[in-house]
Amino acid sequence: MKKTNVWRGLSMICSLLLTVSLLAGNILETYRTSVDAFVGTRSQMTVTETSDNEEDTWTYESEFKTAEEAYEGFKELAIRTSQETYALLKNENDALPLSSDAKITMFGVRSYAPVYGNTGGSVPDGKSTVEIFDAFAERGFQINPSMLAAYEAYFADKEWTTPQFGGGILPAYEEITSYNDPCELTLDELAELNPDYNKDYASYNDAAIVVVGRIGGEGGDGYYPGEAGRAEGVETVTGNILSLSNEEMALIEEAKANFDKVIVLVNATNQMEIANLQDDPDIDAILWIGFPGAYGFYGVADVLNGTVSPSAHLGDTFAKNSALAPAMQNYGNIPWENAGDFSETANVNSYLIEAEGIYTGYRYYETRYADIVMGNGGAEASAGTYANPDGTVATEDGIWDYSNEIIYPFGYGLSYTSFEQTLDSVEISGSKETATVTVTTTNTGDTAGKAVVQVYAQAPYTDYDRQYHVEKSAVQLMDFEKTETLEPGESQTITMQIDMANLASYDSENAQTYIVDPGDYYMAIGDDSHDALNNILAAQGYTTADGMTAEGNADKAYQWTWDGEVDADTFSVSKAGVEITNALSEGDYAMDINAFLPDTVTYLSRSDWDGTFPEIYSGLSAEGRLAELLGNDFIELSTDDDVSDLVFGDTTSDLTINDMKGADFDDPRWEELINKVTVQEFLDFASNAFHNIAAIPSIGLMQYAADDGPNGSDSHYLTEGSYHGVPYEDAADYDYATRVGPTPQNIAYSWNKELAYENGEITLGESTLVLNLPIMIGPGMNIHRHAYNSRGAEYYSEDPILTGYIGSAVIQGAQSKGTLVNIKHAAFNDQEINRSGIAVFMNEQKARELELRGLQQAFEANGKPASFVNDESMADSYTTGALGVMSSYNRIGAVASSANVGVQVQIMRGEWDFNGYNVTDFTGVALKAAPKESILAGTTAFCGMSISDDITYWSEEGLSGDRDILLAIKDNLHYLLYALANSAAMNGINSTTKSVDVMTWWRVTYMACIGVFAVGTAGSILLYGLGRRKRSRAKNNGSCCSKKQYVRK
Amino acid sequence: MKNRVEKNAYGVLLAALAALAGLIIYIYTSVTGYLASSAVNYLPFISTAAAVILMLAVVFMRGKISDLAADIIIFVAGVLILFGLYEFVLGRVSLAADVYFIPVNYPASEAEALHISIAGVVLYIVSDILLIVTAFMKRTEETE
Repeated sequence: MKKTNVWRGLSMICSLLLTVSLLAGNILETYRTSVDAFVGTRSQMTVTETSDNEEDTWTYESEFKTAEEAYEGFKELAIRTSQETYALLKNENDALPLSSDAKITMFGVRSYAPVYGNTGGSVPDGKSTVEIFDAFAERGFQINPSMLAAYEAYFADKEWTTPQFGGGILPAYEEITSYNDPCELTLDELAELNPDYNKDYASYNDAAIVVVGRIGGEGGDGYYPGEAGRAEGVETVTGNILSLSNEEMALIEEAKANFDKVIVLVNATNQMEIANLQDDPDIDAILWIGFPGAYGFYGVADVLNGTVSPSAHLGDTFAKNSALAPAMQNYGNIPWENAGDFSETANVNSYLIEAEGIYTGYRYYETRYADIVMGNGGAEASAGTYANPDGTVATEDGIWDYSNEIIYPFGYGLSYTSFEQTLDSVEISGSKETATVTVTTTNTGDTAGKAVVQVYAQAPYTDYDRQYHVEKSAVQLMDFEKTETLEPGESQTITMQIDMANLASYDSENAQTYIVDPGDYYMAIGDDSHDALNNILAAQGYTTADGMTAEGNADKAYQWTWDGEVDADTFSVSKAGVEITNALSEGDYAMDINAFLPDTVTYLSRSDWDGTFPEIYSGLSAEGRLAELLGNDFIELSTDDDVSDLVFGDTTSDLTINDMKGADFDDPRWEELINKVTVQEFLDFASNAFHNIAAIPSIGLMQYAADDGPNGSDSHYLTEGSYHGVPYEDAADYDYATRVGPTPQNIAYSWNKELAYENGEITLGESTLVLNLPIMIGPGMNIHRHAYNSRGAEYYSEDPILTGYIGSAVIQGAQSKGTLVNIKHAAFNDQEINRSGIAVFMNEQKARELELRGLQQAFEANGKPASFVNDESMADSYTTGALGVMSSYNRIGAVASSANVGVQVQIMRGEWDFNGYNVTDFTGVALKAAPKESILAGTTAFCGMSISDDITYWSEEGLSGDRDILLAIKDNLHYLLYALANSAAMNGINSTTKSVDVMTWWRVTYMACIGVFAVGTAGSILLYGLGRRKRSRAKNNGSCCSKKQYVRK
Repeated sequence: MKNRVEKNAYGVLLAALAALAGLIIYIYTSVTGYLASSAVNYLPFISTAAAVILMLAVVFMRGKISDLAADIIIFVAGVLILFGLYEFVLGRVSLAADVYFIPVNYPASEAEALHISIAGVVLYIVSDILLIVTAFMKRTEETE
């Protein structure tokens, strides 16, 4: 008791620990939802008393009532989806399928550790992942144990890593995760790992399967062409990292030397440059598998052994040398010359000038090919802009040859059976707005399989177009459908209603709206884009004598003529009845760099392919208004507007968000509800949107968690699952995630809208219902501009219709389950390099006809599958477009994407009638998101955890003098509340619903610590005081005169 | 005896210097770099400055004030240091959230501000630990 020094010290220790506990408590509660996501807890839940009408309470019904059902449901769909996402690129002499019990030898580091999914964003769940060798063995393949042992030895001391974002385990090894090195093992290295690696070749010789792969995912630095893209010592076939390295080729040569049958699996989502494999007669089969997901190698095995016939088609163009695409001329880090003049928080780094215009992917290759065939020029090519026959870069001026450029065209894909398609009829409506196309597909082979109906069109390229710089692709996808599984001899006829708005061209110079030229038009079917174009060329009278790569079939093309003047009326009004006119060609929100720096860029034109081939636009400096806009602080707030008529914080109404469940956007009660919300409540909501829907107490909106991403929840597990608000009884047994399917790009390659719809229902929709995540951030719908971006796997395709209709299907499926989707990213997130802050420039025609056309399909609920049209049960589908979107990190033109009024307001809110939730990417409330400008442009929330200190106006006081921003806040409240009221956020809600805090383990821990250390501090002080008092008394009594005596007492 | 008192005083002096260094870092990171344009929270400044003054008072007035008074002053100084630490950390949590959890290229100056701040926080903790150590050391009357 008298050891006062001990109590004194303990009091100090306890006070330190008390402080730490208070800090921990404060931080944990501030970031509660993130903590929940990270450690798998549920710190808040809603409690709803029973209602008279349960059906009204549970608007959206999960089909999974137990964790087991959920686990099995996600798994079943993942496997079934995967089977349709593998594109057979080569199959000589029916090398495939293999027998179900084939004895195979697997080559390549990726044959043991394939790329299951993205390295970041939409990552696969390592806990669920069934490894390639286990999946193959389970399906009956017998794998060469000696070769497998070598790879096992290599990975014996290595472990799977953790995802860059989200939680859990990523089924990937850090040691072989690289953008500039395939990390393949040499034969010598294999011999060191297992000297007998090759001893069983003879007994496992039904086939050699070589797996080659490249990683991809969010946040990657990306692939670079040429030497810059290769690590030291890495040499490749074309000189680019997307072709095969010497080490990979050595394995292929080893396989060819020892096996009669060599099959190559391409485990990459970036288009690989594999012309040498296509040309090699000793390579029997090539199967593109992309990123199959956690269970996807079951599907690969099912395709290899013929359980299912492959039915995927490429959604991107495979070039011999993708680095020669015109889009690649301006790619990567091209900094502003005066980037250093800007504050760091403005996030001004580089720019991207997309001088290729509309000519990305097949639009470039097929159009240049068509022009050469038609004698319109385009054959002459300057050194460095075209490919040699072997895919290397031509170093002298010469002739551009389609056959030297392309390996597999967009839409290409083989099957184990053969199909015959006939173009039965085409009817163009008198208003020009729709076309009805009927196609019959017959299985003419001897194996069951699914076929894809691809419908393309061609619009004329006229003198008007040349005069006003309107470009036309010689062929463009209009719509697609996938057949049912057709037995041999079986036929299916599909009738498609084609939206002809997608054939209109945007003329920013003269008409300043969409136009339709007079002239000859063509609609054609084809096995791929090149085949369809050849059919059109055949209908135009061209043959191989004109330079065509193959004869076309004119019967598969339909021609019609539109006479008269250029039609600038038919497609000048959107489906929402809003006039369409320039939004991105001039003014502050222009995307055309020429609007700021006149005559800077020449856009690629088919009127002079070689002369307008893009140059690299480097060394630009931003001055004047351009610099002001880049600063992201370009609209001054008023401080003295008359805002007396604007009502915030009204307390006279009893209306709550619960009352608005399912309400229309035009419901008059919204005004009454919104008047209850204070400015500060909106600001608090808007600034706490990192995987979170913040509460708005005045209207009874409860707080919810949200999560990324397009392929299922990145952070949550079935252990948190519930049905009707009651946790699964068997939850503890299912520590698995919902992100188990093949990557989104694979899904697009299925060309199956119904399957995409189902993926929306399950992958996003059931993630919402099972894990109580009203917002799922996805799908990703940016266009693939070229082959080298690292994040293509999370997006769908190079084509806006394939992207748009697959995305639309996913969204419709997800929204049928109440998911508030966040399409990402609006817009133009065209590369990961400098993605935060990069200023993306292009002309308005490109913007509208590629990226925005893809997004438009989702916002307008377009692309309804033909099979849904006459299905009564699907009558309610495709009636509401996407209700949520996430803007992009990049700038659109000069300003933050969320602040670009041209895209966010004029086009999205106006033309597309988008009335939903619009959140920034992970910016927080910071200058890089231009917060006040973004609120004015319809941003409803800022994903992030913080308010940057330099945003000094982020308060009720700071904004209350500006009428425009207060009105924008009211509009934004309307948008976000409407979206939430029509989502699963209202699921299980009735008038009794309230949220309650849950005593999670971390909450108990920090509270207990606070209690213990508070008591410890107080107790120590008390005992110190008592000790002093006793000693003082003792001293006064003279009984304490020695240390010894004192201690004894 | 004198040696023990001197050690005690040195401990408090070192604690004061550590707190002062932590405070300088707090001020530096608040008025320069990433946070230069943000409003400065003066509470850590006030509390830490007061703590340093109290600790220096104890050091330079040793022998002139009672052990009880010295204990109270040091305890109060410790509480003030912890309060400063609390405010300091809370003011930098958003930087840590940005730097460690936002998956994009945050400004380098933000990471710099955070990492320098971490050094400052460490100095605050060192200061408090030194006070804890001196608290466990016996005073004059406790060794009589």
